[in-house]
Amino acid sequence: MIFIVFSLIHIILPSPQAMAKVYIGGSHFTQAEVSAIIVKYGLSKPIYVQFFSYLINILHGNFGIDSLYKVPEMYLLDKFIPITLEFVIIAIIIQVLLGLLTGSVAASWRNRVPDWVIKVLYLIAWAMPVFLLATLLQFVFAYYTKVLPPFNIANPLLVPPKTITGFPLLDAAIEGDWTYFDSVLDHIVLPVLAIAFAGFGITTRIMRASTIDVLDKDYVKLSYMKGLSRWKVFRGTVFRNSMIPIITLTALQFGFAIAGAVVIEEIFIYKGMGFFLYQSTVSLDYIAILSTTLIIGISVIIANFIADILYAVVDPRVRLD
Amino acid sequence: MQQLEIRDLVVHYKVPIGTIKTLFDLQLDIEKGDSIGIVGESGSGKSTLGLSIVGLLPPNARVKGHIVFEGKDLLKMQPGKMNGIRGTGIFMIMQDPFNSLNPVKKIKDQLIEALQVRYSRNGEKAQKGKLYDEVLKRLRDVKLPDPEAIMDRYPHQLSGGQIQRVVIAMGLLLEPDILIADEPTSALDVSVQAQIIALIKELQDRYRMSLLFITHDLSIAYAVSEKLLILYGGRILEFGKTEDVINNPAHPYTEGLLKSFPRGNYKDGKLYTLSGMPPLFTSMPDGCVFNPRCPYAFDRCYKEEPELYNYMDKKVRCFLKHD
Repeated sequence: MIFIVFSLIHIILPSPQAMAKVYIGGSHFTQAEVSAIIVKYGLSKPIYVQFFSYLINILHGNFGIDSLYKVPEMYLLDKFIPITLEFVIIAIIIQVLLGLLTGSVAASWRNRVPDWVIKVLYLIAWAMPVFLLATLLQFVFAYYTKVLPPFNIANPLLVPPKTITGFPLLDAAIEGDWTYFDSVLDHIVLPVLAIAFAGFGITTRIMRASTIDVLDKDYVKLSYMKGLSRWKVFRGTVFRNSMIPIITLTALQFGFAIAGAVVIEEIFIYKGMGFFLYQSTVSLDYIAILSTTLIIGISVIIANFIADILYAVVDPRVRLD
Repeated sequence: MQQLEIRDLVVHYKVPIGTIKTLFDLQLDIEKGDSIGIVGESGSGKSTLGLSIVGLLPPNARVKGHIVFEGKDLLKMQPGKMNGIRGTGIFMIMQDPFNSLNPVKKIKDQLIEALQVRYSRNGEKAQKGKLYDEVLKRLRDVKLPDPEAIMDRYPHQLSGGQIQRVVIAMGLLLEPDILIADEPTSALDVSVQAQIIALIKELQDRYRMSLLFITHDLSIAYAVSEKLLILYGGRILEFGKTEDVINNPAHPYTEGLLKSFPRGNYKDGKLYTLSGMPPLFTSMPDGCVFNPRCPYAFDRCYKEEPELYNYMDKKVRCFLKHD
């Protein structure tokens, strides 16, 4: 994965030498300065040598120095990742809860009014591109009714609490700075809703199908046969079995949500990793693009890993004895 | 004393191409302690009969008639009230053991859950330890080896025979008045089949439950039941004491079934087979449902449908046994 990203960036973006040539002879650079930079960063070496030295460096935790901000890349990632993770995780939780609820309701009232209403809702949310949904939410809640702030992570007039974990909500809570906490909460609602709405349709659909499938099983009949009430059968038997595919699905959706966060953060000027990635791409910040893409990739892999563990917790059939 | 009375039971399934009549004008009385074998080919409506008694037919089913249990008509009951009948009143064992226990819960939890239902209905309270001991006792009753270990297992770790025993143990914990067994042995090995059947029979005698044993195997029904009901195309063709039905079959269908049963020397020659196929519910023949396959069919059989006539202590749906 690292290699693919590394190569892609080399292919897509203009090389530093090519960029430098444009400026040579101008007021910014002299030939000697460019040559010094090329030697300093090893840019004249073959690409695989460059890749190899990059690989060794990131294994040491050295992502390089950001060419725009002139600080270690690690410092920037440390600052931006928690902000994005925070709202994406909250969004995923809401999305899953919403999906489980609507999917269960739709399956229980199959082909009746609740099912149709839910189907219409999720089709609308699903069919809409994320950026349109986000813009609509921003328009309705921030500009039209003015109940929620349109952008930023928190009210810029407030002094942010000390950075402990990097997660704004968590930091504010630890510090006991409840005004800042409230402000962050207000600002987080719209981006979270945008991601949750954009993704919950798939969860609903899979949950509905899975629930209908489980409802047909003999063990559900046997649970009824025990004389349990409908609610108990649903909670103890149907739900526990039908939610199993949702775990895998959520791990997959986590990737989409992080990718979606790039657009969402840009719209809500929510200065997290997505915003940072967008800014770096516009300003051709090689190292930043490379590192953020890498981090996104790693987080998706971790999400899948967690899903595998959860799977074994929920479903005894995949446990290894 | 009539424990369960089924009157004029008609079950339709609504499907995209129309309605399918699965059970037609079914009458059945179950007395306390009865054991009734219900025999029929696949698609004769035998499982539908079991499911309609416990009220667990799929949502596309439409039921008419009366099923009266302890003076109450189950078909007119609120769905919530029906929960109070299932379990301690009527309990049903499913056909496919590999699908009949909740795969994500331990055997222990599933059985204790059943026992708690009975306790709460009797207004009793019980400690966890007492519940556990009672469950363990019942698992010993159904002759499961090493019940302590089985309690902590999940269903996928058990064999089909073991699961059927667990389900039977669940039935015992609930102490139902009527036990319906819907082909409990058809998915099991022959040797295990015999054990399970012997177990059901033994337990039925011990706990004085009424038993409704649904099967496609005449020999199993013969071993288990005192009364035998032959179901074909959703209709009762013959009903009477098991001995009578087996020794003096009155309906040509029963006769055919018995003739096609291997006995004596297998090398004697070809086995008798009933020609043709069981009717599809979408295209029932006019007149008697059995007429396309009946060796004795005559004009009247193709024109009108015979009623269930009384014939020598039995009930038979055939013109030949009615003057």
